[in-house]
Amino acid sequence: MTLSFNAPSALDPFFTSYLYDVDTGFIMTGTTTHPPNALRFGGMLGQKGAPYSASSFGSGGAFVTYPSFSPTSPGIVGKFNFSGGLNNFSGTLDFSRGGAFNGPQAFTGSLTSPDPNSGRFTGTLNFTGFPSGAGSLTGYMYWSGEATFIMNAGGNVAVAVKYNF
Amino acid sequence: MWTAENLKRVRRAFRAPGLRRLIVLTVLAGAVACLCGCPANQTAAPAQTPAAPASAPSVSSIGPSAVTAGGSSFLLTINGTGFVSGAQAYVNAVTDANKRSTTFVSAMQLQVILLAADIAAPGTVPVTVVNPDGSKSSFTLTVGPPPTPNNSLLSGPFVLQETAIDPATGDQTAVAAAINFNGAGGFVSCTDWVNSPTQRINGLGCTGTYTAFSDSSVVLNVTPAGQTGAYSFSGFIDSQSNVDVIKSAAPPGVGLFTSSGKIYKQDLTQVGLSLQAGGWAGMFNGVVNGQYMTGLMRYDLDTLGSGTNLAYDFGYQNSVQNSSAGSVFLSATSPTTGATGSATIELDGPFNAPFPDLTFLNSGVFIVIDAKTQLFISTDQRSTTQPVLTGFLKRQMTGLNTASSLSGPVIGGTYGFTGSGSSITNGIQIFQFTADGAGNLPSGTTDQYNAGTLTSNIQLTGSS
Repeated sequence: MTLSFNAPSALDPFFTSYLYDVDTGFIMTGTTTHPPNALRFGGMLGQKGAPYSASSFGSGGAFVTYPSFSPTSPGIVGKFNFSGGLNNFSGTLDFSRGGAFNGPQAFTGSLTSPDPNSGRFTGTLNFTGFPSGAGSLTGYMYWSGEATFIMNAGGNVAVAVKYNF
Repeated sequence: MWTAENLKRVRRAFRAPGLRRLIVLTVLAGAVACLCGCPANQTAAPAQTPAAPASAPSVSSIGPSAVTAGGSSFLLTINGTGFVSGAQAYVNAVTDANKRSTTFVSAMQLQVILLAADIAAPGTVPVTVVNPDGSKSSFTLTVGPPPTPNNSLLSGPFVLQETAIDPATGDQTAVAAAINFNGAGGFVSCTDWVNSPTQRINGLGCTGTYTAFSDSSVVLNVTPAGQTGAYSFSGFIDSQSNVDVIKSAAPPGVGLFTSSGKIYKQDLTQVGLSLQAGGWAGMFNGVVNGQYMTGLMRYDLDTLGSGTNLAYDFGYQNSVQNSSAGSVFLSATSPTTGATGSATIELDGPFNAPFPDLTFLNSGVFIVIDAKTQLFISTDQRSTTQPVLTGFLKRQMTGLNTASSLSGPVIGGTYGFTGSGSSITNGIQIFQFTADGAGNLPSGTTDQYNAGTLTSNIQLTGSS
């Protein structure tokens, strides 16, 4: 299956996908007739659990970055704790980057409640040890307690993260 | 009733030394009990120095109210009144050496970064806030004992998968193993260990230990058979009993690479179903000659465990090659014992330009996670310069060749890299769209990060 989008500023508007279940499969950028600007791979999943709300995040959970193919892009594992509420959550993360390991490091942050229909949410992060000190995250819920998001720590440090709350 | 005689009796009783000590201790115990025992989602009322002037800082609560020994550096929020811009927090004595990074948020709040060394041992830590005029207020932070390991969090069969990038060469390495945890900090068995390309596939087992703490953080130490030294992984257990990990230490000579991976809960009851005949879809990725590559494949598996390639799309150097040229063939032996089988994959050129004439004959293993999912890893045993391929194989349900196979809300993401060496930039895209089941994607949004710029909430429409 091929997919095409009309977003003018999209990184790549064309995708190739192999489904293995309804609404669910592997995808990669580009097709043989539309070569990718940047070769990337990933997946897509049927989105369940709408309408979403703040309670969709649950009490907390673990996350990990997708595999890195760049020595300068960090690998991260971490854990969120939402017992203090979305506006004042805390967490812990470990990261490896360019041959160095650092951890555990504490962080705090805040999240918006996800959009009831799209599941999209945004947030801010305050790192005490991770590079750049402040960051942001943007993501989509795909099931109650599960999401995928981009964690951006500034300074060209960004990672894709899959999260099971 | 407070009669004059009763008041005299109270005064006489309070002058008794034993009772006076009891009252003082009771008041102090109340303050300490609140610092130690308030629920985690509440702030505590710390013990304060007495008789502060009206303009002096006054601390009413702190968050977190208590921490555990051995934790990391953390942000302490101090709530109260009378804080002034330039206020400084100190740990223990008020000396320059004991200054801690302090952020003035408002007259009612300060934020202070305490160091891991400040909470290295259980006990109480005195903290003093000093305004620029010298007025100050003190409180104590309770440091509780470290959590007791709860090794029963990991018990039974799991599958370890991890990939890493060598910071010196940019080469990808990968690890796969089937590990049976005993629930008490050790392994019952480790049926395979694959580490490529530095060690190549050795097909041997491993031994190890692990520690699962009560807050679900994990340290896993693995010593592969036939190798010198051990690997260490740090991680956290998620709500599905899987463990998210990165490599935190590696044997001498192997190096500590940028890393990420996962330990999947394995369903051994499904192993007998894991090689059912029918369609399978897979995704693989790796690095070839310093260039990132990825691919999709679909194949049919017969009842003997041999597969015939039906289709593939192969991306390399920002181009996509489909199955109009070259071939992919996979054969696999059935995992008659345990959950591990072997596989052979051929990627034979010539491919259409601009692809190089790649010819891989990769030997590998696949490890069953459940009846529908297998972890896959392979290397070309003929050369250490050929790529390590890793990925996952998913059993396909039937009837996916109609537009209705994409018929509802979908989320997804892609990630990868462009360039090479120090000029590598990463690109990430996450998206949400709704499919109508007739080949149209009428609505959606995407958020993208590319070369240092995050672009948010782009409206999408499309087709499939």
